[in-house]
Amino acid sequence: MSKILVIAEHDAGQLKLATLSAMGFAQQVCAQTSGSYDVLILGEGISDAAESLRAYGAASVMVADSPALKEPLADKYAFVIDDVARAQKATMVVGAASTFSKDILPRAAALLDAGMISDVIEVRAEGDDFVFKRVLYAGNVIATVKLEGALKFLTVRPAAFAPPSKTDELSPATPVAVDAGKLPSQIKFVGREAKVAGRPDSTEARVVVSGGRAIKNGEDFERLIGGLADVLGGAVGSSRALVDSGITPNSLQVGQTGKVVAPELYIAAGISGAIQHMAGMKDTKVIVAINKDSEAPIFEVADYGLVADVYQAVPELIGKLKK
Amino acid sequence: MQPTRETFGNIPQSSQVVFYILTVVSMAVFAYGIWRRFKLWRQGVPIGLGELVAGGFRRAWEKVKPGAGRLLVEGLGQKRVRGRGMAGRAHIAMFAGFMMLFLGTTMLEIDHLASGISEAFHFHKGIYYVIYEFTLDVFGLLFLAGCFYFLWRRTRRPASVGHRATDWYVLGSLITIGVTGYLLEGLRMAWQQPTGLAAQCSPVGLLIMQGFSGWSNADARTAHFLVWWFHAILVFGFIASIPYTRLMHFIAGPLNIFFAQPVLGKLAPISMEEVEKTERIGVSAVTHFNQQQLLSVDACMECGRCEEACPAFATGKPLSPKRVVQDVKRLMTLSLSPRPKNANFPLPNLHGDTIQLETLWSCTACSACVKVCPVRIDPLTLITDMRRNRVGEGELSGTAATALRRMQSSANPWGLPAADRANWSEGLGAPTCKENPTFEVLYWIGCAGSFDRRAQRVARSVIKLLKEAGVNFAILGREEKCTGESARRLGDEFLFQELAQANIATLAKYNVRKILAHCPHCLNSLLKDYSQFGGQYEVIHHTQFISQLIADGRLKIPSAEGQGDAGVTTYHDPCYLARVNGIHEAPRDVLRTALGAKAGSELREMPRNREKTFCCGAGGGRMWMEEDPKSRVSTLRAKEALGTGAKTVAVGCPFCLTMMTDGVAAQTDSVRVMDVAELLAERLKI
Repeated sequence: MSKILVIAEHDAGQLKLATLSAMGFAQQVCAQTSGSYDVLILGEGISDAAESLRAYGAASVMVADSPALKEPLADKYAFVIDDVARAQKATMVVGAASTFSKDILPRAAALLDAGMISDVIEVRAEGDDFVFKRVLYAGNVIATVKLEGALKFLTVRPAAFAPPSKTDELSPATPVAVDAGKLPSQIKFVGREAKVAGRPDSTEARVVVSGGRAIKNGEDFERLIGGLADVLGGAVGSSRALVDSGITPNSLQVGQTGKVVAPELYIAAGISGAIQHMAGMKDTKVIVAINKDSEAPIFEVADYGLVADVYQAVPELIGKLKK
Repeated sequence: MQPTRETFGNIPQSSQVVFYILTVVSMAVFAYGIWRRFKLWRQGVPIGLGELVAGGFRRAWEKVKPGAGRLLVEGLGQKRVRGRGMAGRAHIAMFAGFMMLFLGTTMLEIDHLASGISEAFHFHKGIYYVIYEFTLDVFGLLFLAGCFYFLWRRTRRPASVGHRATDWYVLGSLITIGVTGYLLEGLRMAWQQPTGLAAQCSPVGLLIMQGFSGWSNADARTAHFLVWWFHAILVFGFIASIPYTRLMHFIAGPLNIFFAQPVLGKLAPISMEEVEKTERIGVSAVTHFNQQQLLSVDACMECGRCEEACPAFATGKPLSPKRVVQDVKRLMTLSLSPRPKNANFPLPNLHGDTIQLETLWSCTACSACVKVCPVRIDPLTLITDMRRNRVGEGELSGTAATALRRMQSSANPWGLPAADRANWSEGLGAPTCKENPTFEVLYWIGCAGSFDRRAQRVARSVIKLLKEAGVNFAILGREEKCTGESARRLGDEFLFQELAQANIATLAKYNVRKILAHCPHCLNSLLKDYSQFGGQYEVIHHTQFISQLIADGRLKIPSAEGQGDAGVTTYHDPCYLARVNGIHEAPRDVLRTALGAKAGSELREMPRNREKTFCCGAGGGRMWMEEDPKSRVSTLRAKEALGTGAKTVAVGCPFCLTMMTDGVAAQTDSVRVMDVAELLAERLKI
């Protein structure tokens, strides 16, 4: 019988949706093995986030709310996870595959002398044990693996597991006592640099609208690319050419030397499709290209292509989408 | 009386004795200085000096011959000194003068010693004397002319030329020796009063003699004696100072020309056994360089030709090949010389203290510095040897490190699925080796041709041309992997070897002998890297192959009508094609055919062309690194290309295609960048 501990992830009290995928995974395993799962959330001022976790059938939502846990410092978080996992006699500790989990879970696994695998996309019970599938080499290889030991640490790919089904009955919220004095303090919090809030991050968004050399200045970029992204609820991206000419900031660049995005819809407006750019968006589900030059290589990868001037087509598109 | 002059004439016996004592002293100081440097070089990794002379005279000669040939042509012949305008010519004048005066002095001493044995051996007289005096007089002028040019140049301090306080001593001493030599001749003639040919054979001396016309014989003799000593002491000082000043290149230069690796585009392989034995990869301390490399840094005159040719330096990156050589030299001198045991300051490290990481990563491996060095110093190998160590220690991060990981996982630097490698060729009618086992030539597509939509068009054009000419070819399709060229140049030797071995096995499976490639980096790697691991192939560039097809009449070129619209075109030579492998005429031949004779179609050259080409910025793994947009190599080169007024920039390399497209697009949108094969296909309307 599985006893799973899901580590919830949040950004200053704002629950990260990937947590639900980890819970979905837990629910799936529980269904196969008639086990149960708990959710552990750590931080300070997290009651709202904890509250929202109660509707998914967890045995309990454990809340480690302490000023000492305000910042997600790996040494402190791992220490608490270690405590809780021991007390709960957990057989699995699960997080979403994210930078947060990569930072914290291996440390907790080490404290508990447990094995860990990352990027799980499938799980199947086999007798008392489990067989996992995980991706390797940027998705080129899928490995089927078993993990030894009574306690297993895992991270799961959010896209591979649907959020858990909601239940009518709310899970009980139980506080976890944290003795701030006992927590290790080898890691110091120096500062946090947050992006200005607004559009979603291009690496997480389901829709990304990117602009290329055809865009002449920052205002046009905001009006055309930003405007289209906003009506679609998507993120904005840019080719290197626009970053070079100072029209867009470095943080928007998609490509070999920028961000790697994998949205469901990628609209490339005025982008010719150099390999350095394509390397950053190759995992997109649907590519739409708008370019004046019908010879542009981007049309060879696009699912939908529109040979048109960005300055003409995009405002029209925005107008139609607004209706 | 036949023309001659007495050796040591007017010099008393006592002075002659002191002269010989001083000769021995200055030679000893010279020899000690050389020995000191030699001890430094010896601390490098052995280059098998003993091997050179082993196996009898004939075999030894075979091994020594190429080096000796280079010494003759590049040392005595000054071949590599040429090509820097006036400075190159001045050096040749100075060198010719110096060598002739040196030879003359040696002959004089031989005559003196020979006549000491018997007057019958005395040959410094008669017609020999006349020719001797005249030749030395003329070459002395050449020598001084060269020296004065360099004195003038040094006052102007060209940015790329190194400056040290001792340089003034060196130049001053050379000039004073030359001038006092003539003065001495004039004074000698003033007291000797030669007549006829004996006087006329020394025209400069004769002229100077006029200045002493009023002097008594005794005065002339006294002055001659004093100037003789002054001249002699300067010469002794000069000889003694050779190993301690820039003059060291007299010795280290020729030695390095003799020992240096003469082939561009080659890197020495490392074996696992070597790594296990030495417990390191590449160079992390100055003693990890080989003995020839340590010798080479002593040959550097800081002439700065490498710096002027370096694309990284030209775009303000923290790399100057000259600086690297000089920094290694400084560290060698500092860390390998015997030091007092209680020295309580720590020695600087090679990495970090002496050579910065950014310096190493700035290199595009374009080989321009290696090509221009008059004494065959190879800054590129110094850099790649150090890169190997840094990569091995995990010091390479960012996008280039990602590219290396992807080469390993997906056999291409973009991390695109290896299974998709042949997708581009569907429906083209390009058979794989499996489908056409009797192929004559293998077309190597490379990663760009396989995955980059832009470069795929180049590959398609080549295939159209091959089919048009009825060439029996095949491709490897999905079995092809990245050659690993940029991994090797970045310093990841074992990733390269892994990829190379896999490719060599595949090529062996299909018994491949002749390979056609449109990528000069693949070409160089298949040709010069793979041969080190058992892959021997004839490798030719697509422009060479196509140019041959045209010459053989296998591609029918339409007459004047129906030409492409390339307009004024310039050709950007890829470093690894033109400079490293000497292929620069075939692409031009194909281009001329593609352009035809239509008015407005014209091939214009950039200032830096053929072997002197300027990098696009993508070599040496730089393709995978971000570059500050304000100082991009590609922008600089694109500016040069646009400066010709070209409407089409032709290239012969997929890296250049990417970089030049970017560089051109940043400056104009009315100029296109095309591969040579695309332009020909366009002309042929296929």
